[in-house]
Amino acid sequence: MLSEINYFYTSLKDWQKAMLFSFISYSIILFGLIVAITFILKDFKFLLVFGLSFVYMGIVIVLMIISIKIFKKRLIER
Amino acid sequence: MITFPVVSIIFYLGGLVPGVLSFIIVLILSRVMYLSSSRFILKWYGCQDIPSGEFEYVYPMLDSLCSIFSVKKPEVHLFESSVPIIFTVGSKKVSHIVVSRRLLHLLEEDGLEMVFARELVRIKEGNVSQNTFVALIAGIIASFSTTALWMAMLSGFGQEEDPAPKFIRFVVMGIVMLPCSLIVYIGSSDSTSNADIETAKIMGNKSVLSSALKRLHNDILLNSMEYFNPGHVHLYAMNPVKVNSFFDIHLSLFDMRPDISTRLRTIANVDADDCQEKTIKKVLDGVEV
Repeated sequence: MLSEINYFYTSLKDWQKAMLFSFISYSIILFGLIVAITFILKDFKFLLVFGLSFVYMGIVIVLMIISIKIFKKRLIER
Repeated sequence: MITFPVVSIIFYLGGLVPGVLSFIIVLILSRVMYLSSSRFILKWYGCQDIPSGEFEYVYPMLDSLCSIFSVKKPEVHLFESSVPIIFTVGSKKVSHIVVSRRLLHLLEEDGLEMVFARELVRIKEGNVSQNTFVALIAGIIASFSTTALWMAMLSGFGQEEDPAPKFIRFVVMGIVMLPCSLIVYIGSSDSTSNADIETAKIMGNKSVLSSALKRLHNDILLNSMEYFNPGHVHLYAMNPVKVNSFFDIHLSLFDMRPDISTRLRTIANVDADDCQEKTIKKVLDGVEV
């Protein structure tokens, strides 16, 4: 399993690795938002968190797909 | 870009009058930023005029180039850097060529003439003001990662080389570099190849231009460890932003095409007849041939 992950990671180009880590960074923001909302409401509202995650991740993924199309045209691939 | 979110929030919170007022204020601020973006960037790099007695050959060379290209003479500014960098900022009225001390030391006069000619081609294209504004906005966004590094260091997470501040910077880079690169790619005009081709055609000396670009590229590749703001990558004649370690991996989003080999091939393919035709206009020893 680890070797497969390693193979997958090493097969990525630099900009693809950057996109992967960007996605993780945006997920950290979502995690922070969910924690903050849960603390403010003093309760874990599943539907609210699910809706927020769905909308947030939807926007992030759409933007990333647009970015990938632009990067494929404009970047030197190493 | 930020006008509509800001105005909509104020309109939602305050009503019609604050909404309209905020719209007017944001429009005025955007215009002021657009007009003074070159001044901000000159301050950003700590630019100064070339000291008297140093690099005196630059001004006569620029005069002669301006008469060849029929452009208004730009102001030349020097900044201290160990990386050979040259770029142009400005508005429609006045342009500023910013050059690093290293570049003036590295290139000989004919090579310098070529890189200055290349900047004048970019001025002639008329996209300098747009590129400058994009550089200011993208540069501000990209510098949030450096701010995060400093905030982490000042709040006791460690020194610059410690893993914690580096990790915080890495996470913030992941957030800011994607929109920053999109702004650069969508907002700026991609004129690298065009500037190379036009310079080779008008100046007529392809080999000197190729050799100057190769020298810049090799010097950056071998010696550059300096951090340059990736939001300004579209301004530079040769891209100095490179990935030096794993923590810089987001900078690979700014590895813009064309690469050096493509550029050299493009210059080599410039038609020799076309070169000669344009070289007739070239001024030699102050006398137009």
